[in-house]
Amino acid sequence: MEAFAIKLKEQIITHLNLEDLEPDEVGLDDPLFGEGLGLDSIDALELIVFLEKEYGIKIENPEEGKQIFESVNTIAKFIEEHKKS
Amino acid sequence: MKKSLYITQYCHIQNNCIWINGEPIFQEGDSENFSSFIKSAYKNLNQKYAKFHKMDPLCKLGYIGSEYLFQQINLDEIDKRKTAVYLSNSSSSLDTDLKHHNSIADLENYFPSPAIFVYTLPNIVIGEICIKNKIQGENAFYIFENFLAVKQFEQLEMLFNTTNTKSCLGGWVELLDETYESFLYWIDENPNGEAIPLSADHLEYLYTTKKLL
Repeated sequence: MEAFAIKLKEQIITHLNLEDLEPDEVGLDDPLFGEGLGLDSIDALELIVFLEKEYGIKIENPEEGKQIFESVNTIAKFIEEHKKS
Repeated sequence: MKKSLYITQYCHIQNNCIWINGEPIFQEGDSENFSSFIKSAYKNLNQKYAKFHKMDPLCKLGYIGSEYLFQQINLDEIDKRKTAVYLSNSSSSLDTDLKHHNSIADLENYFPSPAIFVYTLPNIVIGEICIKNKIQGENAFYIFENFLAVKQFEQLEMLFNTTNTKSCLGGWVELLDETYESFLYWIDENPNGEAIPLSADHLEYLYTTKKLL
C-alpha cells in the first residue's frame, strides 16, 4: 500500500504541475487542500478527471470528494477499495 | 482639461530575452523553446509561487513581464484600488483554446482538463497579475490585429479621465505556439523622477525600438 501511495504522490505532483515541490516534501498524510499543499477547486476537478483517466474510477457523489482528497493516503485507500470491487 | 500621463517603466520580452527600460537584464540563449525560457526567467526571480507552474503560456508571459516590471516599482506605495490593468494582443487565448480543442477531439478518450479549460479566455492573464499583486482597479483585455499604439493611448486617456484610476499596467502580451512578444509599461499620473510623457508616438517608438533615445 505504501509503495502505491508513493507512486500516486508522484503522479499527482506531475498531473497538477506542482513543479516547485519535491516528492519528499509531501507527507502521505499531509492535507492537500487549505493550509497543506494549498490546492484549489480547479485542482480538485483535475483530481476527479485524473482518477477516471488513470484508474477508471468515477466519483459519483461529489460530497465524497472532501474525504477522498484529504491526503495522498486517503486517495490511495479509495483507489485500492474501488479497484477490488 | 485632460490629465497629463507618464510612462515611468517598461519591459519587453522577446527572443529569449527580457529588457527593462531598454536594457537587457535577462537572457537565456540556450533555451530551446518558450517553456524552458520562461521557466528560467521565473527561477531567476527567486520566487516561490506555485501557481506559476499551473498557468498557461500566455499567462506565464504576462506574469513574468509584470513581475520584472514591478521590481522597478514600489507597489506598497500605490493605491491598488486605483490601479488598472489594460492589456491587448492579437491571438487572444487561441494557443490554449487549441490545446483544449485537441484534448477533447478524440471521443474515445474524452477527458477535458479543467486546468486547461480555465485558461481559454485572454483576460485570465489580468486575473493572474491582479491576484498575485492584489490589484483591484479597472481592467480590460482588447484584441487587435496588431500592436496599435493609437488605440492603446486612446483607451488609457479615457481610463484616467473617466475613472478614479491613478496608475496602470498597460501593454501587449502576444503568444501563439512558439511565437511570443510582450511589451508592458507602467503609467502614472504623478511620477517620481524621470518619466516619458504618454503619447501614441512614444508608445509606438518604445514598442518598436525598446528605447527612447
